[in-house]
Amino acid sequence: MRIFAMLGLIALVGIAIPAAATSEFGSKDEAVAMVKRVQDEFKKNGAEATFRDVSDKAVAGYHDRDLYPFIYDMSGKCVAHGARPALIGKNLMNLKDQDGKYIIQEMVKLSQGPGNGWVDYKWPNPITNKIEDKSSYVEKMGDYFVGVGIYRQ
Amino acid sequence: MEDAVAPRAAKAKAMARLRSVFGILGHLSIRIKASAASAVLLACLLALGTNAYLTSGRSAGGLRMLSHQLEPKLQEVSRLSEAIVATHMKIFRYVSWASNGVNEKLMSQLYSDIISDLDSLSARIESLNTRDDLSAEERSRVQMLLAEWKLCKSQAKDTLDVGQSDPAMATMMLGQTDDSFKAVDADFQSMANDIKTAATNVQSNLYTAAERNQKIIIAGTALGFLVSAFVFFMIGTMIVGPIKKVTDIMRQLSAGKTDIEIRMRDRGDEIGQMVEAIDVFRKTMIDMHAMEQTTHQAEQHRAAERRAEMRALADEFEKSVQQIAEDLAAAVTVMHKNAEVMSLIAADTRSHSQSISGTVVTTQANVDSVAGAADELARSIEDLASQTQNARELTNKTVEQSESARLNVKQLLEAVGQIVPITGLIQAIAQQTNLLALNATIEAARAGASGKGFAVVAAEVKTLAAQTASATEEINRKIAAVHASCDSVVKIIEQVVGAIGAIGAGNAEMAAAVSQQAASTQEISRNAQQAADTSRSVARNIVELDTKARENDEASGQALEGAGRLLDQAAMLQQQVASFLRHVRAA
Repeated sequence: MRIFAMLGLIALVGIAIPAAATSEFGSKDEAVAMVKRVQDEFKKNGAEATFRDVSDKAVAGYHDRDLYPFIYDMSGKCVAHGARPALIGKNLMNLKDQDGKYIIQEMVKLSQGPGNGWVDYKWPNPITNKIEDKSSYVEKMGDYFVGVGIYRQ
Repeated sequence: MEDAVAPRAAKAKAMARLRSVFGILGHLSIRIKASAASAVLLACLLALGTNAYLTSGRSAGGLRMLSHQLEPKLQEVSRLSEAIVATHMKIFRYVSWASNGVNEKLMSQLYSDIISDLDSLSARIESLNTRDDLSAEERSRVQMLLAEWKLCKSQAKDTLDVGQSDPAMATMMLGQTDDSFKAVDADFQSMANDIKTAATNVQSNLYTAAERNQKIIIAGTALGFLVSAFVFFMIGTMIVGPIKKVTDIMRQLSAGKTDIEIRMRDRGDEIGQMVEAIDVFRKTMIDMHAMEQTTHQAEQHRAAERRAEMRALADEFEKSVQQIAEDLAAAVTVMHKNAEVMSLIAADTRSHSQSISGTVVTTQANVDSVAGAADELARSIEDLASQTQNARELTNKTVEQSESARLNVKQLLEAVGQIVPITGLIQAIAQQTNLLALNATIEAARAGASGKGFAVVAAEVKTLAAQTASATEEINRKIAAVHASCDSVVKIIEQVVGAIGAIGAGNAEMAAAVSQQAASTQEISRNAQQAADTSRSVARNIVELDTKARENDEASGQALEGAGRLLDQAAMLQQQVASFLRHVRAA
């Protein structure tokens, strides 16, 4: 699987390897740019390939420091996750953060409403595995939405 | 004013209605009235019994529902709720273990434990849905619960799955799992609460029903008692009261009081019929009484008529009897006088005959002296002649007196003869009186009790008539005796007169002989002897006459006595007739 994914990513997508990190953590712009990349691949390669690449940690374009994309359908089911593959296939519509915020529901609302925007919530940092404040840029993508977040210190 | 009048009118109206109800009740027969009390009691019993049956049926239903439906359902729901909470806790434990790196063997045990819990919970919730004792609301709630549980279960599984590789994320996911478990649990709790509420409702319904039933039983019993007592009282007043009245009416009727008011005739029951019958009886009594009075008046009238008749008869009888009695009295008086006269005459005759007897003795002595002194005869011829003359005069006188006595006796005989028809008349009256008395007795017998006194008087009259008849018979007998005595006196007087006549002739011859037979003293002596014999015979006759005269005297005395008794009896008759008439008039 991992080999296929790698092959697919290199041979078919040909995504540019991001430039060397300027900071320890990803910025908002970088997050938005990553969303745009996912959108591009989605348009170009379709859903399945995009989901696979997003979930594959080997695809560097989608895994940069603490930045990673996540894709859910409008029912709240996780279809692709750049940091936590255990979530793929799980419906997280009712997922709440420590403040009681329904994270996925907000994102669905945002996607179905304005189509994109920022959502603030708490989420475990994949690097530290600690729950931190996070701001994610979310955009509608066909029947799905895609988001990339930054951890706010 | 109006405010005062209105309630009074309403009250009067209510009273009238009550009375009409009572009237209708009064028309019911006694049998219906008598069975009314038991019917009311029976109705009360029936109502109470029905109520008890229905209530106990409801109670049984409620209890059945409690014990067979609500309680097991509640138990199952409570157990489910507890099991869900326990599973929830296990999921927490699992995530906690995953976060803290508990060894994989324990983790996988707990994992499979939780999975089997979830599956068994699913089965139990499913089986809850198949229960047939769910209400529609509960069923829809169970449907909803099933949906919720499905989500809850999937979230739980997701959390477990994520927890295997990503404990941090699993911890994140505990929030939603918690929510869904809480929601399911809350649903179960509310369902349990609903069932509890239903059970409480059933219980409180049972309690209320029991309380109400108690009240109904008390009220029903009280009502039954009151209504029965009322009906009993009503029957008492509507049967016993009227029966007492009817009894009173009957008692009064039996006492002969017919002018009483007959009430309760318009009653439709047996008492009304009874009163109707009593009224008929009373009318019959009145009719009978009137008839009796009419009969009594007629009888009185008839009695008065009879009395008047009797009085008239008595008057007539009095007249005739008085006349007869008066006649009788007069006749008896006359008879009495005659008897007195006769008695006097008889006494006179006796004294005369005694004097004759003395004279005769003297004559005999003279004759004896003639015979004894035959020789002195011549000498005393003249003396003798004068003496003879004296004797002749005496004889004549005697003859006259005898004649007079005879005439008197004859007169007495006639007087006695006159009495005979009077006694015949008295006898006839006595017979008639007897007949009258007999008639009076018969009438008295026909008159019954009222003629009893009259019958006594009639019997007295009858006795009187018999006495009168016997008295008259006695008088007749006495008269016959007097008659016979008189006849013999007359005969003797006639003999005396004859003898005196013979003496007279002898005296005449002696006078002739006195002048002629001076010579023949023997002759004279013989004649004198003869004369002496004759004078002895005369003396004997005179003695006989004397005896007869005494007898005559006695007879006339007896006649006098008889006449006196007759007089007394006539007076008594008059008295008794008067008393009889008094009785008759008084009757």
